[in-house]
Amino acid sequence: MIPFEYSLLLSAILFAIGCVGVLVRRNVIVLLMCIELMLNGVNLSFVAIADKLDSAEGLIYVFFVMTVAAAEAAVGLAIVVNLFRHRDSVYADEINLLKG
Amino acid sequence: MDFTFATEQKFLVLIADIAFVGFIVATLFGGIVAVGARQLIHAVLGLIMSLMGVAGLYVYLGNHFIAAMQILIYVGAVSISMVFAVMLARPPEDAKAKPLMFATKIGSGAVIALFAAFVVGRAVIAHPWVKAATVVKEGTIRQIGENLLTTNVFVFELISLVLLVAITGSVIIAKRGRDNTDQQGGGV
Amino acid sequence: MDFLIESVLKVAVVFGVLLGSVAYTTLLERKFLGRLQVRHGPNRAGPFGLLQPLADGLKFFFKEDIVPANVDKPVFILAPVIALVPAICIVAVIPFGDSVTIFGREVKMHITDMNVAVLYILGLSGIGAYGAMLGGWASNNKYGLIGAMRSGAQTISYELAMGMTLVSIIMMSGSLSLTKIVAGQTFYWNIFFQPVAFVLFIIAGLAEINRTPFDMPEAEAELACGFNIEYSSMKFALFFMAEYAHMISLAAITVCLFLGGWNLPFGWEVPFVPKIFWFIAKVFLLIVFFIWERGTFPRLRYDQIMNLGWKWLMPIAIVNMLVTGVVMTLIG
Repeated sequence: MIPFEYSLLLSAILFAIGCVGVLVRRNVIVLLMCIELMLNGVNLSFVAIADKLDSAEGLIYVFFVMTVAAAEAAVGLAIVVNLFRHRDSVYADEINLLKG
Repeated sequence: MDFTFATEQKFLVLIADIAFVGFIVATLFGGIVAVGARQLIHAVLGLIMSLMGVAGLYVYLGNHFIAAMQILIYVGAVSISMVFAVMLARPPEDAKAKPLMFATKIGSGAVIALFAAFVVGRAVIAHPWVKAATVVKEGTIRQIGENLLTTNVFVFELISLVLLVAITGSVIIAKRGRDNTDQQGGGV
Repeated sequence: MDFLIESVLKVAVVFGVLLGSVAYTTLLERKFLGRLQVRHGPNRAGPFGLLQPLADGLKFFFKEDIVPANVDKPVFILAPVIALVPAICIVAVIPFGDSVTIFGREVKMHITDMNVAVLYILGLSGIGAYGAMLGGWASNNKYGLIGAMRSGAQTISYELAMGMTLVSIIMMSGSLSLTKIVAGQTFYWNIFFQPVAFVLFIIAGLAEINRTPFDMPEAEAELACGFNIEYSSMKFALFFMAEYAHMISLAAITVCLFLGGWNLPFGWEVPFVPKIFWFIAKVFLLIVFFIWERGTFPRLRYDQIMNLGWKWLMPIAIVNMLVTGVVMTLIG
């Protein structure tokens, strides 16, 4: 059996990968994907701890996170597609109309 | 959890552990591809691989229901809409994008991420993990369902409201940009 | 160790039978469709054309495997595999029959009895959609891209309607495991209580596997085969096999969910006939039905498909779910 700390470590690494991605990449679609990765890291730690504690509480929160992630992806991607139609770009640093 | 296994079962446990390592590799490799790939579609594939690896880890941790939901929601819905976005919003200079890796950015990102991991990890390790008094491992689905409709019913309703708003919002956003277009009907 | 050997054997047998039935479903389709159109179908290779699938397989195998110049190579090669693997994996949770005793050992007639089998099936059919989508995208071809987008949109839309339909069945049987759902139908099949859900499920399923009235992704007449336009040789054969494997698994799932699995209705029993026979017979009849409707219905237009999915199937499925819930509460 593999100790549950490994799962937590993995979830931390997954979160870090997503975090680096958000900071490094400029493409909005990739940014959304990195956010999904980070949420997955969080979910993994929820499930690992729920398994360790034999409780369903963590699983409920995984459920909520998944729902919100799906909603976020739907809205985010709709915005991205619309952005591309209007501005012909999906790069975060070229979308600067509000910068003054 | 420390079980004692019969010798016959030890082999199965070994197989499960190998699968666990495989899922870890899939998760990490997929994540790195998702962040680092130049081609958008490869990044999405990496994301899918990572998500499936996480689903496998859920199976290993004994939560088939969550694993199935992970595949159903993330792989079956979220990532498909990502692929859609890639197809619809295909940046013309996709392949010859500007240089991707800036050492400073990577460095700062890694430092911040490691700091966050360190803080959380300290908290995790410092916390005395005590099992809840009343636990039934049987029927996770029933347990989740009952919990959703009793303890967390308010959050449940709130989430359904969030979903409603998200659906309406994305339909409106997508529709507004489409007044003059010749797209086929139906929204996703 | 026994468990391991038994599992490996079961997987091997089911895999072999599945691939064999895929091969001969193509022959059945060509023969039966030919008869529907007043012609003979393949009849040269072997008696009644029985060796035709073999000949087809050999031909696919020896054809030149063309990878066009401007394709996205890794994705192009991966796409057919992504299409086929989920189609085969679905069979893992389907129960074929009651347990039988072989060599004094009780063998259950399913590879695994997952407690979330229904969700597993829905999830895998979602993954199957990637095959068509990625294949069409990677081909770097306009027809391929249109086919890919159609396939993705259609799969998501109908998966929603399918899930909503399944909820009423799950409510009735109180379990997500196919084995338990079948076990609950020894006397009354689910179709007796849920005829609407049955019709919805068949329609949504046909759309999900891109079967003919809904085969927009590869509509030969307008898209020249859509997502698999650039594929040749074994890669095309993989797409082809995936299509038929999906057809067989859809038939098997429908039998398990609505038609009582391996049971006869009203608890009837026929002596000396193994129960797996009834399962196979029902699956066979459903496949014949799928071929029949292919010969009968013309292809829908794309906007018609989307309207049907979102404006008709979804609301009807939700109302069906509500009615099921109300009736179950009233009866108790």
